[in-house]
Amino acid sequence: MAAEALETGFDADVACGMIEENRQRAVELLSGPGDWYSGAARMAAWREVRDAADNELDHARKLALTPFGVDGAHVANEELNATEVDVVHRVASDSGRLSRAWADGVIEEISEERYTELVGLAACFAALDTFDRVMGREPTPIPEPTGGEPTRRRPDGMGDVGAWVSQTDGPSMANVSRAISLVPETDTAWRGIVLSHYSRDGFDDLSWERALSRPQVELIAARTTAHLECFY
Amino acid sequence: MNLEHRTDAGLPLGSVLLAVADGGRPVHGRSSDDRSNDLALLAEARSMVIQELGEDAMIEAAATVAAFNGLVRVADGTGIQLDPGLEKVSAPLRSALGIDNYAGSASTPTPSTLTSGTPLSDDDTSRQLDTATRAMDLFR
Repeated sequence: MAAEALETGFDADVACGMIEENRQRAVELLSGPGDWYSGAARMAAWREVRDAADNELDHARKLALTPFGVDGAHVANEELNATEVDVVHRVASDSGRLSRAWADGVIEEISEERYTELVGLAACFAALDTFDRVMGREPTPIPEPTGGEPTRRRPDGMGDVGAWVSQTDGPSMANVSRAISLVPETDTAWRGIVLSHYSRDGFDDLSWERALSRPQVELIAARTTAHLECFY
Repeated sequence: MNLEHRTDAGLPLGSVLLAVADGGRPVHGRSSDDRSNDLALLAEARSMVIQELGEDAMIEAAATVAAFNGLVRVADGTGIQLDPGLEKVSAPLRSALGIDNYAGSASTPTPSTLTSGTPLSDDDTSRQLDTATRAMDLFR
């Protein structure tokens, strides 16, 4: 390993340790109070993400011509109402076929801040669980939530940049980088996951000195996003 | 594992890395048989990646699949538009690959209406376009 590090500048132990460290950090952050939801509610969202894998309604929606034409509804749990549970399930199971009309309706009911936090949570938990599954190991145990109150703070500088929810209204950020900037506590956990698992500090570098080259990584990324039918 | 029908995209172990992404695809809407096949494919691909490239490469591969399972949900769930530089340079490929037919394309109505907030400066647009162009060149 030392020789490899000297030769290429890549230290696999450091990189892999960093991924694990960031995963653990993300789980700690997510199990505590967030922007608008308590730690208990956030862990309830994680359980719903896992339930979506085998949920009959989600399965039927996924197979239907349109996911909005299937009878049935998700039910509330102790921490999230039925609409919130539905948001988590739809984002977890069929995010490529969400619609603005649907999102606008949800936002009117629960607020754009709460909607954005639920999207961010579903994304974080999907990423964490996918890593375990692809590695062939048991899912990370969902931890007991830690107490405390959410910040309930809407950051300054949010505006309409053409998305369904408000985002940082600055000219220099890629849209995906500011997608959930409306909920900074959740965004911190999310960025820790995505940066450590993907770009780290080298997004603009087209040659990566890692165990996989940049083109190899992008090949996997392209196939993954195709499976999920993501336009972005 | 029969990889003969798989492309390698001209990359070392490309077909195996694609098998990792295929085996690790989301389970939603997949039948129990499909899920079993995915798991078997994934197990084989995992062994081959570790054997040929090392365990670190497998961790990188799994991390990539994981990251994009999150990125996709964030992008689609918030309805973000394509960034101007990316929208411009990717137009021919999107059309050729049928990506413009994805439901999420509705979030980017037309190029002229991109970004209704603070407009990108010419420098920012040029930078995005340059990065996107160089990235696309990697695959040509």
